[in-house]
Amino acid sequence: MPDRKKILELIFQAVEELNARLPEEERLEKSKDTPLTGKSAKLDSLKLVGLIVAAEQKIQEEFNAIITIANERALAQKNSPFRTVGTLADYILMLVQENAKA
Amino acid sequence: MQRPKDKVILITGTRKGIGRYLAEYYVEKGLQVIGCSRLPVDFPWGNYRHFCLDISDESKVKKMFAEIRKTYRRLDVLINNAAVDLASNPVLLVPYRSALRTIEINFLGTFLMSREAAKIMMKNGYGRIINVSSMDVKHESKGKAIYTASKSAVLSLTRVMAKEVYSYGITCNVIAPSAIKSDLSDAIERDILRSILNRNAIPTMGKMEDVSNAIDWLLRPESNAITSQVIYLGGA
Repeated sequence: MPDRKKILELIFQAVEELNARLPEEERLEKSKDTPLTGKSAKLDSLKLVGLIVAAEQKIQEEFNAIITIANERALAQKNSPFRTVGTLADYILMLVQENAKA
Repeated sequence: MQRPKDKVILITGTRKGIGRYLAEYYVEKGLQVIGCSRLPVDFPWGNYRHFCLDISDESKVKKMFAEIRKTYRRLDVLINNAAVDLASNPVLLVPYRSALRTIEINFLGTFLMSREAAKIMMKNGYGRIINVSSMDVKHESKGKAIYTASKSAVLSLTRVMAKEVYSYGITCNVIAPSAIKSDLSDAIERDILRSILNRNAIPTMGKMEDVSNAIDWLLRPESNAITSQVIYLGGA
């Protein structure tokens, strides 16, 4: 059963994969508070895309849930779900739960 | 060096025409070929797998890619070939639904397939996306406004996406064939087709082999610096 803890774990795995390709000073901390967008974020848009795609694939493998993280709702929200690792985890959890009900 | 049988290629619109030719061509070359079309096929080839779907249906497209990821763990090449022209009329006589379906399949289908393919390709740091456009983009012939607009959109999509995904080892290019015998070319009156071809450097019908030759060139390992390009076959 998907829960926030498990989803955070999967996002951290995606962060690890991304970090392996980055120089040390650009690597992300595996924390729910790590910013993904905004002035304090270390990621440029291309690396953020890589992280989101990796997270999407890990969710698919773990829960057999085919979701699109960067969907219309995500892009329309006043408070972007891509602010931090934690807000991303919350958003993914909602999508996975909706997917299970569909 | 990668053996052909380890390469996985996905071609849209394989039931007939250029798509079918390309599927057979790459099956014979020993690649793992995946094809799709709205209707089923009865190809006898062992290293071919078919998906029945509408390429503008997002959930079905995503399901197909999930299956490709699970089965093959990779995708090396995507050829966006599927296209329709349901709005071949003067603009003033084009029904809205016909224009919409033409844009959905030719442009949005290409976008969806490219987006999902790139997600698999970026993981392996390699990919070739080849979009099939049309000489109509250059000729801007009367009665082809919607089809031409959809194929022009494919050009813009390709050129922007090429910049976004190159750092992942993915190239994106367009091949715009001359008229090749197909359902689409058969639907054009012979005199009109002749006058369009006369505007090309090569004023005769193109061949299927012209298309596979250009694609083979783009697939060569040495072609990794060729991206965001449009190749007009027949010299449009």
